Amino acid sequence: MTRIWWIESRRSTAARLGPALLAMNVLMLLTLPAAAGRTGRWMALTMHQRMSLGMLLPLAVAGGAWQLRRDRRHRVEELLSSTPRPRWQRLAPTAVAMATWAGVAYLVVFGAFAAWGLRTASYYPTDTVVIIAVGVVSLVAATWVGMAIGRALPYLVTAPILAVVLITGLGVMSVLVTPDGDEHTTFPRFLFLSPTPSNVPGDAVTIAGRVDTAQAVWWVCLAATAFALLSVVTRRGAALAVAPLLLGSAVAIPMLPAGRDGGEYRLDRTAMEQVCTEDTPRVCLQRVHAYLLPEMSDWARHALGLLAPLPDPPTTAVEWRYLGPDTNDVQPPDTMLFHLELAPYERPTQSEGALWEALDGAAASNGTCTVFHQHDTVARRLAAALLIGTLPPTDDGLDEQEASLFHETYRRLSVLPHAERIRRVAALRHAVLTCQGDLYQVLTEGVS
Amino acid sequence: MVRVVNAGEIAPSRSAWAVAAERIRVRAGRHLAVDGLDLTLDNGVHGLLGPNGAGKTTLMRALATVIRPVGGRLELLGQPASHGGDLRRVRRDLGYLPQQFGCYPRFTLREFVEYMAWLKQMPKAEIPGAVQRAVDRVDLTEHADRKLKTFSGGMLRRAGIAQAIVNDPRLLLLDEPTVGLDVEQRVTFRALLRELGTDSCVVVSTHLVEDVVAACTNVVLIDHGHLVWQGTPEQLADEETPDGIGDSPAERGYSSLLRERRGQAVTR
Amino acid sequence: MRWLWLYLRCRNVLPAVTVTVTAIVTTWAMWVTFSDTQVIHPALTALTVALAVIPISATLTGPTDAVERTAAVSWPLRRTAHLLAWAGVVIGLALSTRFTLDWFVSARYTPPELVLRDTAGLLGLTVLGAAVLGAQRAWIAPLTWSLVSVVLAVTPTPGRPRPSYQQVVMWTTSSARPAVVTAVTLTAVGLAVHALRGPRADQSLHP
Repeated sequence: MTRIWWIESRRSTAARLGPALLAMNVLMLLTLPAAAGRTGRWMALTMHQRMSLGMLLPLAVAGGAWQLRRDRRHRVEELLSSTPRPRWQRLAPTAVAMATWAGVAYLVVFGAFAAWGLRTASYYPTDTVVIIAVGVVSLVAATWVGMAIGRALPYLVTAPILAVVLITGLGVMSVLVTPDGDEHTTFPRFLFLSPTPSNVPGDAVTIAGRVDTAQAVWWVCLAATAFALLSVVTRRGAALAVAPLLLGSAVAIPMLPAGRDGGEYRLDRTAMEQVCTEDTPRVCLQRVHAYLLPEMSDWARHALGLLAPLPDPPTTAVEWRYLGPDTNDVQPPDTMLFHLELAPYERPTQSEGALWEALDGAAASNGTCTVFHQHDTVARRLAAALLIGTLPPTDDGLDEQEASLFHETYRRLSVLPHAERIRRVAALRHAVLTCQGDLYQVLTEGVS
Repeated sequence: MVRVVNAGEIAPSRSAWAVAAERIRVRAGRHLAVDGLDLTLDNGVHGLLGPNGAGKTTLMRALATVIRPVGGRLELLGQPASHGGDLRRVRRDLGYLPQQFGCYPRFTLREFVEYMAWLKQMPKAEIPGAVQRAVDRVDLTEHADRKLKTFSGGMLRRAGIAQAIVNDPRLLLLDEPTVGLDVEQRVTFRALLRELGTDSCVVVSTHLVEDVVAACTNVVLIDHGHLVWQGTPEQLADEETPDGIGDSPAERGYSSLLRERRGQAVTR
Repeated sequence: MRWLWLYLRCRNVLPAVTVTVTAIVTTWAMWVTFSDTQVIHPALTALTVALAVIPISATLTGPTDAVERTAAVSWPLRRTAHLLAWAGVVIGLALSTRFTLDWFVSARYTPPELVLRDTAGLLGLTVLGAAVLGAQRAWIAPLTWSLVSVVLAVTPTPGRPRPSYQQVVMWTTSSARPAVVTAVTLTAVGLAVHALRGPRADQSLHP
């Protein structure tokens, strides 16, 4: 049978499906937009490799359906029905060949991108193996499902119609699973079986173990059912062939978490650990971003330098961490929180906006404060403006009234002497940290 | 080397006939193409003659176990083939070349014959040798590693013959095997048939009476799904009557037999 | 007329045109039913045009291909007319939706340049595929490319413009210059190859 597998690998659709999947995979990894890039982060690359399944699975199904046209198209059916080998043995080498090369294409692309971009990675999550394995299993299952459908409908139009239907279907499903702003909308939990993950909330998350297991179980059962459907000859056999899928669904679906946005992820505590520079002022990044410390230190220290004139300024720059859908990172008074911005395949380029965000409110925040005043947002931005010394690039985040107030107040405050400006900003910082006082009043007290 | 022989190996086979058909009825679609046919065939080369629509191809398909008879009793190589029965044992010793021979164009000849040998559940160790031998016997040795889509019509037919004989079948069914073969190839093919017929049952369905005369040891004439006549090619030539049409004694004998048969059918 | 009618039947044009018309009308109807806006999303327009154009691949050859090639008529002319007629049906039907704006319910395929460009480019790509791979496989290139293009068009970008190779990949849904260049090239090359050479002969051993 190995020899037949090798013949089929070179002569059947497997010889074309493999390269097609490889090319499509490369295209997807290059063009799918990234909330965070792929360079240097294993989990980000892994998630993107899984996201590209959105195009790869329909391609695999179409390829499988195309393969099963072969007997009908070349009129070999008559000859084959005079041979003794049972149907499932006859189709096994072809099915295994298709599955092998689909899996190889997937892994080779992942390996190539990993070798290219992940040499300097600072964190190696072991979950990657499981996540990629589930991806391979889903690809194999999709190929066999395509073959089973192609056996039932060996027509020319089967493959293209399957491709179109599946891509639209997967698209619709991913729309259902992505957030619409409300974190509490629920959707049916079986959607978590889809191998394409929805928006990943950060770099320090990984797929929850329950979800991994459920997906693995379900997709393996789907593959078994598809192969069985390929092999059966009687109607009763076809009815029995569906049993693995039903069993798998009964086991897997209850394992899944409730269908909320982000429900399939869990925080990766090791990835979130802080790795800091040795010398002061300290700059701390998450472990998964630790390889960027040399480059980020300069920017972070520049920002800390802008805060230095303040009395009791922050001495540590810490990267903001995603801690879950409803929680926020606690910010001690002596730290400045900043967002790390990463772009696809580029080194981090902190935009101007990142600086403004970090210095918003003179880098002060009080998580326990529940009292807010009307012009807090404007006041905080004014503090940043006074520290940086220029106007912000955009007025995003302020409505028209606030924006005009901001510009007017800035005009009045910027003519004050330097020491006075610093004093007012320090006062605002103190007000934030102690949760006392209207920030705008504090900043503009006594100025006409 | 002496080896222990068990009783089963030297026991005579239960049925003396390679093909034993008793009043079988076979459908082709909705039409009953073979209607109450009795046929017994032994080792040798049997030529199957008959007009178009006589049911030859349907009969060949039934003998090849592609379709099952809907009535009557059919035994192939001692195994019942009409209902129940383990067709796998028959199929392992079967070789079939359909009238419309389809193959995978991307395969090379060697790969395709190897694939068919595997499908016939030949022991794995024997396959490479058997494939080479089959390819040699049909004179396609130098084309063995070329893809089938580059083959001409005659070469494809010979490829079909190669896959049919690769497992040294005891029952070999060839439907129009000489289509597209040139004169030399046909002569070579007849020699092959004669060689194959010495220890297996070969059934050749053809329109070419001269092939039948040259290669066959037995002629079976079929019309409208019934057996009309069975005998040797010499006996077929002896059946010619003055009003038979044809360019050779055998052809005249063939047309005379058919006319007589149809005359009987009309008057009946 | 008789020749035209026989030609249409021989090439199975009627079932294929039915698919084309169904694709355009169904998308329009679904948009009218489920959406509040009058302008059909460009990605959906691109997808619909693709689904409308691709069925031409089923009409490019018939069962009597070998005999047809020996005919005395001028096939380049007829093949070109076949292409243009198909383009006319697709474009005409799609752009006629702008006349539905006065109706009680309406939606339209717009902008017209997109419809024109996509139809021309995808037709060129389809017949190019037929010339290279045969009519049976001609659907692979346009369908795959359109689906990739549509998927990329609906996934959000990180706020910076896409590099030009991505614009080429997304040419059916983009109006940038690389996209236009791609469309024009495909149209020109496809039309030329199809008119001069026609689809590749069927490679299966029993056509």
